[in-house]
Amino acid sequence: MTTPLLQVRGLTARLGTGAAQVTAVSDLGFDVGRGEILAIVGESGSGKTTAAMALSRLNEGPGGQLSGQVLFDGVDVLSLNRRALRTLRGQGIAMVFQDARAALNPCERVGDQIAEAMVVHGARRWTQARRQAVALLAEVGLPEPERRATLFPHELSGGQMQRAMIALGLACDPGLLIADEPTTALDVTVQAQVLALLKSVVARRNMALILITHDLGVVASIADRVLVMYAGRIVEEAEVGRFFAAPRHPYSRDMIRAASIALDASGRLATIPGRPPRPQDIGDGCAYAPRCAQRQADCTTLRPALTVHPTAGDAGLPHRFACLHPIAEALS
Amino acid sequence: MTGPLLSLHDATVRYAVPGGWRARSIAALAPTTLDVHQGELLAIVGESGSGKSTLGRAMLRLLPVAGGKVTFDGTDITGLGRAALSALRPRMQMIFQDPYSSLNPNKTVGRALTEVLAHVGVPRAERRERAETLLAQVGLDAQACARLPRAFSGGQRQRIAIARALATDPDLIVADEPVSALDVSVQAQVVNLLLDLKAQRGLTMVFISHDLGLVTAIAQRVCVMYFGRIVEIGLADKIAARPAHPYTAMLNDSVPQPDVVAARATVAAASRAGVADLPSLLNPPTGCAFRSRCPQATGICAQQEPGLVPHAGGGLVACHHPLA
Repeated sequence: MTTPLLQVRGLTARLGTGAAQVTAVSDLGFDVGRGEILAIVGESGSGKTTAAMALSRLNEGPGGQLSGQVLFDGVDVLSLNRRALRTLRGQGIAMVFQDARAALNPCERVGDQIAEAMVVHGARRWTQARRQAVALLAEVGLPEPERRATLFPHELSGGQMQRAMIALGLACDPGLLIADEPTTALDVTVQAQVLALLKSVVARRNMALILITHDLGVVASIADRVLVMYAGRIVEEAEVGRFFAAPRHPYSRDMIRAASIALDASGRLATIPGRPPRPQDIGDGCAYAPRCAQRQADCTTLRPALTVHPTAGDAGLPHRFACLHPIAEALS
Repeated sequence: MTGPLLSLHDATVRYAVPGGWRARSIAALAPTTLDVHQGELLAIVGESGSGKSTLGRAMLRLLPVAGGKVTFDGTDITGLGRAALSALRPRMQMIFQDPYSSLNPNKTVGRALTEVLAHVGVPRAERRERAETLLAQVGLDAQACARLPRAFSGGQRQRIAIARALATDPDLIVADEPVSALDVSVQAQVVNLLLDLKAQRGLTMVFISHDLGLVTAIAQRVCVMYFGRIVEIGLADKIAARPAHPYTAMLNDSVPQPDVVAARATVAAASRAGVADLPSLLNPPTGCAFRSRCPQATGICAQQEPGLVPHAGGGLVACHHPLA
């Protein structure tokens, strides 16, 4: 078996300084291969964005300390010098942000921004880069790409802007694209189109995609594998079909129930009581225990380890979960 | 059966587009006729720019109405002045989308509530206790009174905004995307709270949302908007099961389901459909505004704007070729 494109082992991110320092992400370990779409799911504050940014060390600095190991294409990312890191960003790992309006430069034409990324990374000369930018805009499905390349971001609609943002992410032909809530700001009819675009780009370029989202509908739409984060840790990882059919962690099941919006017999929506803990409030036991319906005495004192469970028929994809009393039966 | 609590008759809202000598106005809300019945939960659904928030604000006269009539409980409020509107405001309240910007960051929660109570004439001695009762009703404890909004999470802030809306003991609440800024698990909590309060107090509620899946689950009637117009109104279960307008059907099909088979079919259909060509309010199309995206569109759709008329399945639809 070949080594995966990205291997993450024991990745921990501490944010803040001094007494205010908190561990936002603890002991993260996962792989992503070429041609694969991995969804990282969690509520706000679960550490999903911190984890994604840590992969290309975007949140490292006085207020952010990273430890553990990130291997990208065999390169140890956490030990790279600044110059090599600059090459990695964009050419190795690129990001697409949620709010394209805020991420794009409002004063520069869309085509120029994309071309600039290529020139800065030394991939191309200007005229060639500018031509390539138009080709990229065509690839992401913008009609009349030559004309659109000469427009400013505010002249595009929300969906078009997100497509331009994806084109910018693809500019230096990265091996891994990280998309952080790429469709949250979009209307539902446009959302499906952008997801379809991401899926086709991954297949065409044989690249890897990490999709960060809180929306299980988005996960079901295009992900191959799901990784659920809660309070900075992975609580479950499974192939997407298995995840929705037979989640083992109570948090996964509760989220799936909350997402399939329907009133119960008493005329209420399914919900998860309480809210996620703040990083400084997490105790020794399972972080989900205070909200969990099947909590038992040991849950509040023992933190369950993330363990691999063999499953049949999922093409060798592991099913991992961290729960002392996992759910045994499939979801109806 | 009593008459509607609120009704709009050909109500129109226009926004000014600045531009010096080329200044003009656009019809953000085309002439709209709609009744909100006593005690119902009416949902207004549409994508961004569809005019759903404009409609919600026009209902409460938070915006000047350019034409037509708005009636609240038998009173014509279309042309009411500030003072007269201010006297009516306690009976109709609004909950906004973003609980981070709808609460004054410098006012404690207690102060935000007692000010409203003072406005509706609650004696000073009772205000504090009433504020604490309101907070208890939305699931917050009395200590919240002394704290500033920044001490609370998004879901808790939205609870405070709900308590503030309830402080005047209103008959009608218009909630504009009250849960879209919240996490999924918290969304359901806040929706349940609104449903409980509505049942306990016999409130009439207008729930504005972009999420057709959510509103068809909780509302009695759903009103679908596109391009500043109502394109379909009907009972929630009918809208979900058998939509009459092609746009409603498109929205129904686009809701991403947490179900692998259904969600993949949605994405596959979207990649076949290609990129939509959206109409512009500055340069409105002739005929039906939805025709550029409509699979059923024919010649007549470009010539004549369809009116909102009853159709066989019950409810109203504005389409030349409604789905059976």
